[in-house]
Amino acid sequence: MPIFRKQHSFLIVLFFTVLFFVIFPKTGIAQVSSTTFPALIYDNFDSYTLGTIDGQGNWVVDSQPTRITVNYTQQLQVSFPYALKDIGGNSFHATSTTALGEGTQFFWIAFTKNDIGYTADPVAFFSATYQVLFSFYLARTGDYEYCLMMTPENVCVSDRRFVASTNPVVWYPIGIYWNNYLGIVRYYDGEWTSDHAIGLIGTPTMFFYGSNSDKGIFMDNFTDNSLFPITTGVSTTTSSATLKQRAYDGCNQWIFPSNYICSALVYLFLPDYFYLSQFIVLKDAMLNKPPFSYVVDTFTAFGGLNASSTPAFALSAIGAIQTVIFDNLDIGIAGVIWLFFALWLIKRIGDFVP
Amino acid sequence: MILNFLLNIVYIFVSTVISIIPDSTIPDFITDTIATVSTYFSAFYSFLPFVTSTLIAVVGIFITIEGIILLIKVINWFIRKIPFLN
Repeated sequence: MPIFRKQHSFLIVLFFTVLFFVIFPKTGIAQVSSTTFPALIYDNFDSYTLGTIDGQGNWVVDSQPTRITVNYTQQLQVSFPYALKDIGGNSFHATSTTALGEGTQFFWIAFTKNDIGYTADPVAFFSATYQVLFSFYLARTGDYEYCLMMTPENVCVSDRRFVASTNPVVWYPIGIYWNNYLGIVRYYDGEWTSDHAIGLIGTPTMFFYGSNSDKGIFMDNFTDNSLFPITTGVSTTTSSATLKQRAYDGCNQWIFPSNYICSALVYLFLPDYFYLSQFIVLKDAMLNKPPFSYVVDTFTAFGGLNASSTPAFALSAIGAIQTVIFDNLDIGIAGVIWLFFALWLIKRIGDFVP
Repeated sequence: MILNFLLNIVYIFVSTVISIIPDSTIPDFITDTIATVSTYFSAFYSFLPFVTSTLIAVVGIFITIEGIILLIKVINWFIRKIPFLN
């Protein structure tokens, strides 16, 4: 019996070893977080309010763009159905509908302008190197003059394409990428240290502007004071079936009976995106409920506590007295405060009982 | 299929529980008070910058630590409610 148990345990270990290190990686299941979702992406922004897009729909500001490695066999379609709209009757038109296949992924937006002719050539595309990341570079020369460029993230300097031109003084990078793990589109709104990107100055980097019927992300084209859309249709939806289909496709590459075992495991144990995404919503809901809301609200309230607000009254001392007495007193009192705080902290942590 | 079912059960249970709990917001008088305190801090900052910065930092760390402790206790409270795990 002990020998049987040992063999039995060995078979279990062997089974899970094969499962996690052979089947799952082979089928791509273990690479979910680093791959791009093949999904039709679309958002018409109809329910959004004007202003910053951060927090609306599935748009969030991310601290850093992420390069996404594409590794799938199905095709990705990106479309901008709402981009073919006149904005103010005098606009650029942006269109893009293309299919991305393995090894030949690309993405393009063709801008045309009806009053000066048009060009059907793609002005930007991504990416022959399995990288799909939308990097919109915005330059500002004045308060209302902007320039938009698009570039593959991995060759952001040498291969960027001008959509419109100006004499840039400050470059603003905007990275947009599709996070298939979270199922959201994100754009980059932080510091960027590559060439021509000096950083942001705390102003919105993309306009979220338009009439009630024509909302979207727009750039001022600064040539005729009209707006043209950049992304009026970028993703908020995804398909869990697509992810599963990828896994099934991977399983089908195996011979009988491994393919059936693999497919059965996928069917049983690979959760749909919908069921995972519910918990993202749940997390946001929980932040509004006590006791979590008390912590969140307290942090938010005390986040406004600073020394840079308008003083309630003025305090000053004669220069010599300030230098001789108060400067030293300041340092001394601060040290005493830190000392007492450290003692309190040691006691608090030491007495803590979970 | 199986994970979908389990995840959905967990989601329904948790969402039902938290839907019963009303939303809470911090009262306005507290946020107004903190905003007012900031103006006092600002006045002292030009006079005693180290002390003022220290006080703000200490308050921030204090809130952080107490918040973490509270969360740990809440999580433990939930865990203890699970049968056979106490």
